[in-house]
Amino acid sequence: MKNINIFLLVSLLVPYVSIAGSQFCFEREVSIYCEAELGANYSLNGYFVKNSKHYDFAARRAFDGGWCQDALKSIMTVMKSAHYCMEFEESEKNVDLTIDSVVSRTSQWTYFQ
Amino acid sequence: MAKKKNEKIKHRWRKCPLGTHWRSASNVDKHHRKKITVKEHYRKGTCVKNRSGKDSLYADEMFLISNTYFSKNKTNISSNSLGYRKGNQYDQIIDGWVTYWNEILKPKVPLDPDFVKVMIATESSFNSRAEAFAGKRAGHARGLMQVTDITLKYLKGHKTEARNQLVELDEDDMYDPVLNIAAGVRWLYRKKQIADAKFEEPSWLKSVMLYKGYRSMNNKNVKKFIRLYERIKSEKH
Repeated sequence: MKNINIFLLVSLLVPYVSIAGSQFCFEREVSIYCEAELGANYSLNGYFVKNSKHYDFAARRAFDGGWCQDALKSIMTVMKSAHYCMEFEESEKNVDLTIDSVVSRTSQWTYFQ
Repeated sequence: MAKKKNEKIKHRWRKCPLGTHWRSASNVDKHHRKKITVKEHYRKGTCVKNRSGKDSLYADEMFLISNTYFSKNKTNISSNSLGYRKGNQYDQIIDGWVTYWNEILKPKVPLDPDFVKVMIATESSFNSRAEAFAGKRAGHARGLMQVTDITLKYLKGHKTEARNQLVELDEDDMYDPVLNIAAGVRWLYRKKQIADAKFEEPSWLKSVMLYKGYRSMNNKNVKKFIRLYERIKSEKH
């Protein structure tokens, strides 16, 4: 009976795992850059290694160069803090992540306003 | 009321003849018009001429179509929520507008409503109030399909991006799922038209790539879109 309950619990939770969200905290800056895309668009991308695992991340969409440079500048400001955290939409089981926010005690950047 | 001979109805769900749109019944406040005071009164719903003279959809008619037909429309959309709390909340609206635009624009390969569902997952995570700054030129990206302010202008015929089947909506309308999905799917269709002209082997996936502003199918977010789409198609719920 106990096994069945555990199975049911796992079955209910599995579909929600992929968007459970994750947060990684850092003491140093991670690599982040703007990449030229279609037309005058730029995408915001980056990567980091945590617990010997390589993660790539990107913002949801490419927008114009001004948007990307502004986002990059804001994120770099947050990353200058001694301690900051990055939040992603997916759980840490994923290695391709969607960046939602970068937050320190004194400043922050969020994709959605 | 019998339809006049010359009045062509564009689509089975549309209420008004071509070149006109539906304006819902409403209470009109007291106002002045040409130096005459017009008393407060009730105005019946009616068809009025479009500003552009082209076939255009306005908010009132979108709500009318959605309320009248979407709940009766047999949905082809997957019930897989992709793990999102509100993942199935907009299924009927998605399926309704995909049906509508497929019938209006008649592509060789019809758009799959699950494609739009994945689009919403990747654009806004099914948050109808989502708003992101999209740069000085594009303005803000709003709602479920993150329709930008500049896109709304294009959908009204600005710079002839969309030449017909225009969508007359404003920025605040984009927080309403019915209006947002109507506009977003129409814009995805515009991107399909561009993909058809640009690529030897056009596809709906390439139009997603263009919608999101990427230059390559190898982009991480395009790959993520493919993964989610494959998941929604492989899992039966």
